[in-house]
Amino acid sequence: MEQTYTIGSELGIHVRPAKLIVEAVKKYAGTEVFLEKDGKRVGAKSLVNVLTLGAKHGDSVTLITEGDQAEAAQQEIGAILAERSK
Amino acid sequence: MLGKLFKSKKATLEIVSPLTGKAVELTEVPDEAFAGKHMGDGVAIEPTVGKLIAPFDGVIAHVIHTNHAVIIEHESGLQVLAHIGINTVAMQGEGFTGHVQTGDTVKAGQTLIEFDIDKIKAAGYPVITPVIIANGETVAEMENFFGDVKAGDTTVIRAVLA
Repeated sequence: MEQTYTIGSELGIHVRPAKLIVEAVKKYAGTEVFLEKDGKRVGAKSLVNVLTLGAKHGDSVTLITEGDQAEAAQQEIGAILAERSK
Repeated sequence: MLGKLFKSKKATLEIVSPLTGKAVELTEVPDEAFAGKHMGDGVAIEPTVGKLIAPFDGVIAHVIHTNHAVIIEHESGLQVLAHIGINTVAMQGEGFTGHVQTGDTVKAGQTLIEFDIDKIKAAGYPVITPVIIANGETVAEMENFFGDVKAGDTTVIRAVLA
């Protein structure tokens, strides 16, 4: 499943929220998680990949989750993307 | 300098300090994400000189656009994250001068970022700099070293590669 979120943090997806995403992804072993911005898609397992998106405040980022726990992963990681401050 | 030793099968990487100052436990960092090692294992360095250098030959896997953090990748795949100061993302690059771009190939000792310690402190942010392994899955075991460190000279992390 996929859903698009608007980055809520004023500071964008910097190191800390990026790591939160990577750690969240690890919890869903049977689920593939990708992030996509401006047509660029990255696997969300790697901190570098997530940072490479360079997602800033107000950017639209699509979260793609595929697998057993696609919905739970979508909820948890989506919340990090939309969160106002971190 | 960098010593890369091959003991039987597993390679050991000695990572030298990218900063001059004092290396302390991550638990001393006033930020739970780093102090709790949620960001990765390593050390924290209280810098006395505002210059961050490459700890080994490698590639800049990512440099944050505000130049307060950089990830350097070793040829083994191991990635070291150096995050200058705490909450310094909020300085939006002010006080930080980047000398490399994402994708650049760098040599051990090369200057990556220069930063103004006084400016960071004046803005109210701790300048303590976590230096950690960003992708812990590349490491089988590691040992951290503390005390006074000289950039490019003193080993701060010894990592046995997975």
